[in-house]
Amino acid sequence: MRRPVTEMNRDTKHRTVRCRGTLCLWLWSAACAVLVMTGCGAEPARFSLNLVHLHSQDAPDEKGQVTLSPAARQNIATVLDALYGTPDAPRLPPLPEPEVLNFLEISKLQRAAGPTGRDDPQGGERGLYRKHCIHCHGANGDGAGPTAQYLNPYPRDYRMGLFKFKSTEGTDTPPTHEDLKRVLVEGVPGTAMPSFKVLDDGEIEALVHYVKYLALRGQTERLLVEELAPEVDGRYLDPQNVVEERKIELLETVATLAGTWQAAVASEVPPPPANWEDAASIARGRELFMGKKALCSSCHGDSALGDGNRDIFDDWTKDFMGPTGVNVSSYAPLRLSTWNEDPRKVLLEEFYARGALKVRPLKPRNLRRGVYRGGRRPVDLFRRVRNGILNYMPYAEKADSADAIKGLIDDDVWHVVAYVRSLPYEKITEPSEEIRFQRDLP
Amino acid sequence: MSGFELQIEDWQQRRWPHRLAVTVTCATFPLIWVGGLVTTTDAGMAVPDWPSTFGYNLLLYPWQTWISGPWDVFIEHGHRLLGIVVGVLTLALSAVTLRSAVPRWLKTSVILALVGVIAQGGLGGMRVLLDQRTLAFLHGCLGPAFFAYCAGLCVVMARPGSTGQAAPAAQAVRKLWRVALAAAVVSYLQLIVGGYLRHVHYGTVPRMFQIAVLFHLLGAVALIGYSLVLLRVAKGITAVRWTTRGLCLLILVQIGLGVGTWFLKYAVPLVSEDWSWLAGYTLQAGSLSQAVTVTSHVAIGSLILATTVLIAVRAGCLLRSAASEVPQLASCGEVPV
Ligand code: HEC
Ligand code: HEC
Repeated sequence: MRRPVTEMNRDTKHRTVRCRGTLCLWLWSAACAVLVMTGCGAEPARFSLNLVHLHSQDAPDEKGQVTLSPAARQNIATVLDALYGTPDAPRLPPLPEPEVLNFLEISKLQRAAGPTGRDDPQGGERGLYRKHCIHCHGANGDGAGPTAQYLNPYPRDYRMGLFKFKSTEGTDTPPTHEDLKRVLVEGVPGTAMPSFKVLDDGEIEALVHYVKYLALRGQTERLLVEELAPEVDGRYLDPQNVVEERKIELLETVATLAGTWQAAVASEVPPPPANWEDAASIARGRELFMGKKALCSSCHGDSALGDGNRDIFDDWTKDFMGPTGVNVSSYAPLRLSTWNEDPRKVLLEEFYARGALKVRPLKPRNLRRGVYRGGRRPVDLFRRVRNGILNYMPYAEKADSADAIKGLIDDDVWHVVAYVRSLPYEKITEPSEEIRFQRDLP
Repeated sequence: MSGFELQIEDWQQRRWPHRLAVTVTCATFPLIWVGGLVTTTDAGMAVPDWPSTFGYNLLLYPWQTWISGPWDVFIEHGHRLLGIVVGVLTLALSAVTLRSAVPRWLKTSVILALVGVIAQGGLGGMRVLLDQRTLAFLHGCLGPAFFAYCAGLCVVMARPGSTGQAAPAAQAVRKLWRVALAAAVVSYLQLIVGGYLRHVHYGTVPRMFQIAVLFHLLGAVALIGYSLVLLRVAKGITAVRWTTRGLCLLILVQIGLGVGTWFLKYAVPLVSEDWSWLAGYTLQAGSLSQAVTVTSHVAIGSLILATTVLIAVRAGCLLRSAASEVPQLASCGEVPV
């Protein structure tokens, strides 16, 4: 018996649908298999070069010359290996005066480096950095590990030696050992940076040393690229034919860098004035916060909700966003609003292709939440206001008297801190008159 | 005797193999938990040698040192001990099955389980000896497969129960079989992709990680779809009705755990301080809540795979018995696994 045509149609349709479903399933499996395959293979243990930074130096100069040849890059990598070793076997640069490297202990670096494991049941674990940090901060500390793309803010890129939550004065000054330790132990609230309270002191110490090591290494790499290499196309760095005076020059540069770490100390914090955090102190703080001298409200907004200036980009994008980036130096800082159909977008894509994370503007903090990522003690806040945060949150200049046109005296900084600390309790509609909380001195 | 048509009188022969198969399956589940914990705490290399433990014979490693030692050593050594238990149980299962008068195919299937468990142990050992994360990853993929396989064995060995009902419509059973099989494949792929996400290591490329995240999400959506279809199809099939409901529940829990895993490890993505209740929250690395959530996600994943396999095998049995025209003696009984 022949089946009616319509039924047959339905049947074939059914079958094609099922076929398509099966096909999808197979494709999916194949994709997964590919995924697995790429996961295979030996684990490389080399540091990679800072391609984003190299590319910013790559741009043709006025004479149309590209400065860093592939051979020069290779030399830079070789020299860095010679100075700092590999991710499995870190070493310290052989400086003429090794004292400047006292802030790094090789035994601690070795404990943090290498693959994760344990040699005997009583001994400590090694390979701590790979176990705890690498998926966010990346193998060479570039802050672009596999998970980084999903995090906001992005994990720290150590390679410029720049850190946000530090107690030292000056934007380029490295943090102290205690600053880094505090970040590791306390974590950074409201971000993906976790607290590592579970680790014992030895482990934290090892990790802090390793962070400093990666930072110093990254800074050295930048210097090699920017200052030493271009002159002679990197050839003099070739270990096969070392030019002795060049080598000395190189080691001196490293020593200078290391010296900044060795010398890092927390800035002095004077005691707060006697009337600190009473109504008058908070009112004075408010006046300064809104005023022209401190300019806080220009970014944080009149209501301190963080709704002021939003076109701020942090220091880690300066290779391609700021005035120092060769490629975009002739452009004003990129604004998100003008990205579309912009030739600068093409430039950005070049950096993305080399591993830069998508640029995001920085949001000034909403100070009404009372969440302070760099620590909530009054001294932390004092240092934050006095020293600023890198180049994007300006520091408060020191003034001689309260009437000076520019800058703040210490007491005024304390008053600003008092106001900041009162903000979570202040009504947005009728501020300042309604200060409901008087708080104790620290 | 051939095929799946096991009759009542065979049950006497299958009783002990079945009991042992259930035991193996039950013992494997905790093993999967502990194995998941090994990855969670990155304890894979906590004990650097194999098959010995710090030079000791694995079984003679002083238990006081084990109990009071570091957490990662505790987990890794415990994982090895539990692995031995499952291995010995599987050996017993094979021995007993081979001596029973059960069909040839059943004996072969049990031998296959034995091969699986040995391979799994060997993989685990090689992972330690070579310190290869890829092997760890394969080891993590084979484990759930073995678990699901054992669950399937339990079903085919189960006591035939009289459903006391008219046989379900053959068409429904066929659909059940197809959908359950597809769900099993997808949930296994989910395990693989999830394993990839967990075994982030030195050479993981951000791009691949991104693709894997995407796949994992798509897979979750697909599984939700499959479970809903299964729920509808299984309505008229008593033998799998409750199992299917259980599956749906597991998938629901699993999605919650997955979301929790991400939030506890990487914070809520792209959320800033605009969410007041999250603004001040600090993630705690290696916290108990983190470890429990992640490891449960892994273990429930295996359970979902085993459940889908269970449903598929049961559907297969129903199909066979329908074909052999003894519907009353559906060879897949109501024995809970
Ligand atoms: C889940 C991802 C994640 C992990 C894991 C992680 N971090 Fe971070 N880390 C971050 C993020 C995100 C930031 C940026 C926070 C910010 O900018 O406010 C950060 C910032 C930092 C900073 C800079 C703080 C500053 O003052 O600028 C240091 C140092 C740091 N992490 C060290 C570590 C170390 C060491 C480990 C491993 C023990 C680690 N992190 C593990 C995400 C992570
Ligand atoms: C140029 C813009 C700008 C100005 C001016 C500015 N800030 Fe900020 N501020 C920021 C940004 C951006 C952040 C967020 C930093 C981050 O999370 O990386 C911030 C963060 C903060 C924080 C939080 C620090 C922490 O530990 O989390 C405080 C407190 C703060 N600012 C206070 C002030 C005060 C007081 C002033 C005035 C003296 C001021 N800011 C001026 C941009 C600015």
